Amino acid sequence: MSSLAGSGSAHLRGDAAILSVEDLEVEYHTARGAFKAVAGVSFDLLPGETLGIVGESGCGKSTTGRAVLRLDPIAGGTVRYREERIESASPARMRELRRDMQMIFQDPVSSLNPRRAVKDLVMEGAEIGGVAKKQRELEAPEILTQVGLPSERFAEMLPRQLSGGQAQRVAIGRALAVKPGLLICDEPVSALDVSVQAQVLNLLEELKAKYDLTIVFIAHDLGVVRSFSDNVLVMYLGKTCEFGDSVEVYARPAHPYTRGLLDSVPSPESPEGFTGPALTGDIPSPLNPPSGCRFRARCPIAQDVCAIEEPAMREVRPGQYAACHFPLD
Amino acid sequence: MTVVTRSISSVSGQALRGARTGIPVVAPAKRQWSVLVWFSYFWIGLVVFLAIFASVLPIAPIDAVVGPPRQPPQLGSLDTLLGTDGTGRSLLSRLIYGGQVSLVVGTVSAAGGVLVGTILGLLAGYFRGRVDWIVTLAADVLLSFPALVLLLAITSIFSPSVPTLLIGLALTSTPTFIRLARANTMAWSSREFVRAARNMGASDTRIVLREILPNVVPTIAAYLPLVVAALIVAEGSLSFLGLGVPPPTPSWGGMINAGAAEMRTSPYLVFVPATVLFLTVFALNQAGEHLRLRFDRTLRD
Repeated sequence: MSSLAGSGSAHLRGDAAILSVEDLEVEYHTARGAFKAVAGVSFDLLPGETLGIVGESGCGKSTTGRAVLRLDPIAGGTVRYREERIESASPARMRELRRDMQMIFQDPVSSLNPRRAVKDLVMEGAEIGGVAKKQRELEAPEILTQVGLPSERFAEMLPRQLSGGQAQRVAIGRALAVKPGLLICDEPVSALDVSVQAQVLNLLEELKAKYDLTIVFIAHDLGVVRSFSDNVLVMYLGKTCEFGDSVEVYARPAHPYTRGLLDSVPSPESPEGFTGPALTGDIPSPLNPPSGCRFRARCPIAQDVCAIEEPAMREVRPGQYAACHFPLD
Repeated sequence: MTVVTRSISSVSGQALRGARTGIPVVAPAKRQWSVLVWFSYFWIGLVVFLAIFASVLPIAPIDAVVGPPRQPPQLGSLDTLLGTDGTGRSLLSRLIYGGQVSLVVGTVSAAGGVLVGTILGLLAGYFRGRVDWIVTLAADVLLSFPALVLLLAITSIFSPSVPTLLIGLALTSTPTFIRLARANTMAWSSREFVRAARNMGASDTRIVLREILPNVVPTIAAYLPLVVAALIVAEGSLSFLGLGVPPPTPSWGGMINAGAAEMRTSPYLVFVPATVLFLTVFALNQAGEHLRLRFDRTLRD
């Protein structure tokens, strides 16, 4: 019962999912004590689906992504990928599994070894997998062409000679070269110029269709997530707030936090400068989270019960789930 | 500094040629062969050549008295070209023979220190935890001993000999390299490309050797010539205490130390060997920097 008392897992879809995360907890240990950066998050993905995870900085969305690959230690809950349990896989098995679950990082330049040429970077996975140098030399131009970097010009370049967008293309090529079953994109375009953002997103979109990729797309930019994802998961302070079809959630948010996020988007038309009443205040410290609902301190419709009882995820409308005592219509 | 100038000149050259032909031309990287670099390679070659062939060169034996003591450098005879020491022996011939000991002691002990220090630093910085605790503690203990006291302790426990000396000197230089390698490893291993490599299924061995080590080496290599110089001088201090290479075999550090007592009256007793040591270290630095520019692609283009 305790596992369901948190954010809840009513929105999970069972065995059909390729990735199923249930009550995931990740703990960080600091000088001032341990805290849960992720405190009971559940989500799942069907094959070929794209899930967007959104939330403010510090809500635990990136930590969630890393924990799925066990790049951050899993403190509680279960992560199932195909038939494997990630949280209990042996280190040797984990090394094999990780090849099937690739990640694209926020800072494209930092994610490339500054002393490697582009052609070696994209074939890194193959090299680790034991593919001969000759074969790698043959395959590298193919991969580079796929991510829109002509091999003749870019193969010998070093990361610092690339722009952010080009570097991110190399990172995408490197991830796709190992033919992953799951791709986790951790804010892949936040560090890029708006014009380049669109190019990289289009590239991802194109490759998604071509390879039928299953993608977890982590971002704080709501617009980017809406255009890119089938489903969206809204997180706040390590908890799940809302889950549902991205068009539905954007059109009719059920959780006051989702509403607040959408209203905080700057808008030149409105006199206040925002689409609606913007969120105020800062995200509370996860070292000492509020009792009951974690959002109640910033929630415009909070009642007494919100301080006492933590809301569980429940179906508000068909296919749309929210963890709120007073979901919006 | 030079890198900046060069890139500007190559850009303007490219623009000129591009304008003429209509096709962008990338100027080839200009070769870095300044007078200093030439001199540095020449000097290193000369010192090594003289040290190797000292016994067949037409110079006085190391313990032969060739003239009055404390002669300043003078033209005329080859033996007194750089003057004579406190007992009238030829400074030139002692410098050439001294090069044998000093070069071997400096390079071999520094190489030992670099090897052990880098390995331990990499392990500590990458694995952290208990390994880090032990390695850092060992490095701190070694650093907290004055180097000379440590060397005295080693040479008094084991009989003074060249191998003991090398081990002792290597040991004093190890903690510096441990710290340098560890700090750099920690900085590099938090970068996302390390995480990406792990995500490709790379083993720890591969990550340390292929991802982190190549990024740590340049920092260490830049510091190496300075350590070689310090070790050559440290060997001299040990000779002075009777724990280094036993006399009458000369070494540069030993000559500097022997001359220090008479610095006021005959300063060239110190300045002549000190100049040779300075030039050698300077040349090592210059040549090292040149080799780095030549072979390190990340610094060119």
